[in-house]
Amino acid sequence: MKNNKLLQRIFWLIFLVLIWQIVFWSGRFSPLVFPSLTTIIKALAGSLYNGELTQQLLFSLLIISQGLLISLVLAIFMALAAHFSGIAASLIDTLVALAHPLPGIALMPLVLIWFGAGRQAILFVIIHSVLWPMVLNLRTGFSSIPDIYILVGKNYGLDRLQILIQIMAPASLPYFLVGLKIGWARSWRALISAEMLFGAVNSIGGLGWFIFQKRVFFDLPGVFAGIIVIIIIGILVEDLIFNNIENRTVKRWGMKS
Amino acid sequence: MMDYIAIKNIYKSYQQSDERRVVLENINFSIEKRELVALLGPSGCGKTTLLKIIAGFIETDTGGLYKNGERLSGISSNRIMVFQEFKQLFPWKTVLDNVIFALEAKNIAKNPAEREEMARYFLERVELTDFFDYFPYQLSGGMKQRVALARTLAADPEIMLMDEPFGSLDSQTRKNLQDLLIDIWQEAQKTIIFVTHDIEEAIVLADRIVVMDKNPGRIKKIINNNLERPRNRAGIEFGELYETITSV
Repeated sequence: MKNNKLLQRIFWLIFLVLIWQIVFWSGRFSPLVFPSLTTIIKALAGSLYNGELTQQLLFSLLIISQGLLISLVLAIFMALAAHFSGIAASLIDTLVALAHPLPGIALMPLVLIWFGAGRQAILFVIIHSVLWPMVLNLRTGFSSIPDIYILVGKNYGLDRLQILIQIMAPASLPYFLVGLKIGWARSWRALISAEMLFGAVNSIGGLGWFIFQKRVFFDLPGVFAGIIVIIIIGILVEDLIFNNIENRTVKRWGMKS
Repeated sequence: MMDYIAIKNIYKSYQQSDERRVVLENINFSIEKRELVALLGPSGCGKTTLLKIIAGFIETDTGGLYKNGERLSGISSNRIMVFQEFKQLFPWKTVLDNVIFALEAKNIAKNPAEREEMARYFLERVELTDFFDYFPYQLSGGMKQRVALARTLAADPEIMLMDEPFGSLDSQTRKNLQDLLIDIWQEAQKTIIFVTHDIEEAIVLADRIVVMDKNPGRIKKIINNNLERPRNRAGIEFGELYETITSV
């Protein structure tokens, strides 16, 4: 069943690649705007080999993990505060209501003035795009924990911290993972757009900057190389990391429908 | 003589829109050590509320619970509740780990290996030998309640509080679990307070049956059940006791 799905996926990929190549061969478009697969792959291999793309990729991955980590800690802290205190809840819910619908890109002119165009600015935009959906999902997660789990914990003599770690954390994990997935998707987008807008300090500006630069020099195979890397990272994180965590936890526990 | 557990003058009411509804009125009775007492009554008679008060989950308006003359308050791992809900097990823990949870929480046994061995023992005691590594969602309702029973036994409470634990099971499974509970109770020498609305269940299990009524929730009568164990559900005396209780 699963194998079958994978095979189908591969079939369609080959199909799409073939169409691409046929369009290229047809000669309807200039190779400058519609490069052949071989030149794209050559550009990809070349920029990976000379370290240009690898460096930009590392920059992007580093900054996004930093942003995710900071957002995660902040979100857990905020959701807990809101869960245990009514005043904190009304403040945090108001903040979420204001900030959640605001696309990170709309903040960029402001961020440019406040932080300048550098790492900090990109980090700020990432945190903005991850934090709010994360808080929202954790809030839902905590409030949807069945009372009976907490009651059982208290009955067996657990203290507040033990209840938090041993019961509330695993019980809200399905929502936590949903928040993390949304957060990842949003921050990956925010990252690429922020990098394009903010440019590079010392020529290293991440994947977004890489693509932007290639466009400036009208190096379309390079642009596509960047795009391919973005797609591959997206798939890897989704399929390898998130699916793996889910298979080992919430799916294994029957906590995910 | 001082009673082991004394429930004295319990009143409990809730505010409901603009009137106060009395849920429990003037509840007085006592429980002996190692006794199995059933709280029997129709839904709405406050029997579950009374059990939750005994567990310390909710507070009374007046009156309270005394052990050897001493007032008990709050939640305690010496009075552990077995719920009716199958959800009482932690879904993220295996069957074995759900039982180990109780041992860890009460700091029973010296090391993880010993805890695991004890947990296996309690699961074998409730006749769940082949399911140690299953997760709760993979079990039937009856099996889940067996795990809950094993977890409670592992915590070694003085008093087991049972809130219609077999109420959602089919009748055959329910009978099996009633027999199992009797076995365990006789062996482990626990005090058990068992809430039910099922007269037959109360007669099969209890030494004493506290018959309750509703509006307001109160004790109608306390009936001693001296039928010899194991009890024959089809026996004449069983039927007579059934009649006595229905006519209260």
